Amino acid sequence: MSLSGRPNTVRLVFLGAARVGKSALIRRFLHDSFEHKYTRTVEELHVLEYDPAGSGKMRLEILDTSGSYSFPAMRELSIRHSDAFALVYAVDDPGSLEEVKRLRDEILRLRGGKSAPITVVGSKADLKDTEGRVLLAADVMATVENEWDADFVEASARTGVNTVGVFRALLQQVNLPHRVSPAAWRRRDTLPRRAVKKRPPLKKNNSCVLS
Amino acid sequence: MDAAERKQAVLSVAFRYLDTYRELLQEEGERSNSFPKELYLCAVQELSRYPELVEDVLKLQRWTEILHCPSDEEKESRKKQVRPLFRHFRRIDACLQPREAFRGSDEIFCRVYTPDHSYVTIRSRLSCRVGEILALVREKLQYSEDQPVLPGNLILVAVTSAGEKAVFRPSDEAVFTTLGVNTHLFTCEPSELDSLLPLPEEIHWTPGDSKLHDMSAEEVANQLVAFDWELFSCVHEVEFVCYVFHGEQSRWRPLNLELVLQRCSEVQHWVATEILQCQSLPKRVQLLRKFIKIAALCKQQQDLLSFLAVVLGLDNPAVSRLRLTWEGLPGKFRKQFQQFESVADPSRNHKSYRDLITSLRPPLIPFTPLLLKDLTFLHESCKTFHGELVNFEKMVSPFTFTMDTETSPSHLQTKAYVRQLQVIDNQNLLFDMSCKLEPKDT
Repeated sequence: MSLSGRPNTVRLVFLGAARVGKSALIRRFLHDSFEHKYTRTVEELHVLEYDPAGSGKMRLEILDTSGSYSFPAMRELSIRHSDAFALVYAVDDPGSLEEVKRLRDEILRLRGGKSAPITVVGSKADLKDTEGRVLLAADVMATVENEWDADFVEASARTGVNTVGVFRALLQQVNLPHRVSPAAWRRRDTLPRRAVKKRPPLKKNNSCVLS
Repeated sequence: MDAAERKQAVLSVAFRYLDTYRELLQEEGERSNSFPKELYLCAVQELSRYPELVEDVLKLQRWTEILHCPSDEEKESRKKQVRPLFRHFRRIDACLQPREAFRGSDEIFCRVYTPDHSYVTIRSRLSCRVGEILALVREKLQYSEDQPVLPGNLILVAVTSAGEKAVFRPSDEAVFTTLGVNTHLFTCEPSELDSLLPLPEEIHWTPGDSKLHDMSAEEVANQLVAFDWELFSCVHEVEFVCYVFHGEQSRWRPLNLELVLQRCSEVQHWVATEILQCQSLPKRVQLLRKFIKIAALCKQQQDLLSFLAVVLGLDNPAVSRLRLTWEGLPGKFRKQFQQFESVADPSRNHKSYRDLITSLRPPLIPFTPLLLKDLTFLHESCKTFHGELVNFEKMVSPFTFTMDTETSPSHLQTKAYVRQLQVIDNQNLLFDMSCKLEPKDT
């Protein structure tokens, strides 16, 4: 199952332009916290060990990459050694969506026709049109799901909305039970209802409602 | 010698010092300027009594200017560089570009691992103190409010592939270049030290499928020599002095010299790794021949660093015990290798190596570990010294190695291969591999 070449290990990699919120999504998921100050990431690997169904320990690796520094060779290596890809863009930055397209092409090229489990993530989903959002979920979703045959989710690390959905989508793509239980997962039940109502997780089956 | 001449002699020594250290002093900024400034002020006072010093005083004045404000251009070019050090980012994008000397102020990226083998990558100056590294790591690690105990008491540890650990002191400086080939930096709390495990071996190619089989000995040797020249010309003369004389207190760390030493050990382990990864006996014999040929070519091109590193690699007990492999070697090669081994023979204070060196005409690349040993000996046995310490010109004359400009794909492939050797440096593992290839009884 694992492409990283090690048994019982699954590696998810987050790729995308600078400042779209890759690290913030991961931090929200792992530690349920949000840091307003921006720091450039170089490369970080987070490890979670969990036992999905009492069937033995799994090692889940989450690789956070750099959008600001360009290391083509490093990126190539991370693409070759990952099992699922989160391509992150920010809903207020059309350029970052272009970068997602470019990354997808690179992944497909490097995987040489092998299927590439890609989840496209629209980050900063809490932004409203008046706050700078320029990319509408429905438009991107149509492209991603119909043309690319990839998964699509929107999420916000600031409010915490649907960050779990990002990881659920990634883990489903590698056929793993998604009951990982770091901070954000535990938090789900205590999420303020208001927030949930305001911006429900984007899943395909309610996409019409949203547009 | 009259007074004026004596003063001139002193000044000429000072100029020599300034010339040699120029780049390093410039980099230090203000602090380094106090010496020429003071000297200048003293000399100006003497000027009325010794008018013949005027030339020297003017020269000294120029020096204070040079050190006062390095040209903006120079500053600019220094600032922007962030360079992944090859040890920590094995596949750096720039591996095909010529090497430039590292300075303490250069910024590098470096991975620091935690006990569960997750990691953060920090950006720091090469000369950074361990305390500063730990502060950067701590900042990266403490993300959440619900983390009850902030990791306050972290230590920085170098863990070799065999699991040996060395804990750094917070005051240690410039640790990156001192790490061994497959040694990684870890951070943990002191209580976790015993539980640190080395990273799994990072060999990405399948055994017996080495690219080396498709490369000619000539190509590989040429690239080895070219790279050694690059690395060696990055070493500032002062680094030798710092390495030997000042130890830890030295003002400048011998960064580039340490990288040369690292390379020497990397090549040794590369040779052993390649041979022991090769499963088929006939192919292994082929490989052995190839390495002996590579050694011969390095010697011919006066690169004694790679020459001896290859020879010592073949002398690794895990390789030399492969009786069947060595027996498959034609007599001619065996004889040649015995000759090579004798050069590495330390008896009579490395006489045969020294004989070889004296028989060669510079430029040459010396076997650096031995050079350092000699310097240390010199340092410890002589209270004073006369004349030049190292006749450096003999080692590195202003010779610029002319790289062949051929750029065929296979040439580039060899170049990339040679510059990022994949090696196993865990001697126990190498020995296990050796015993699997040729069990003890055969």
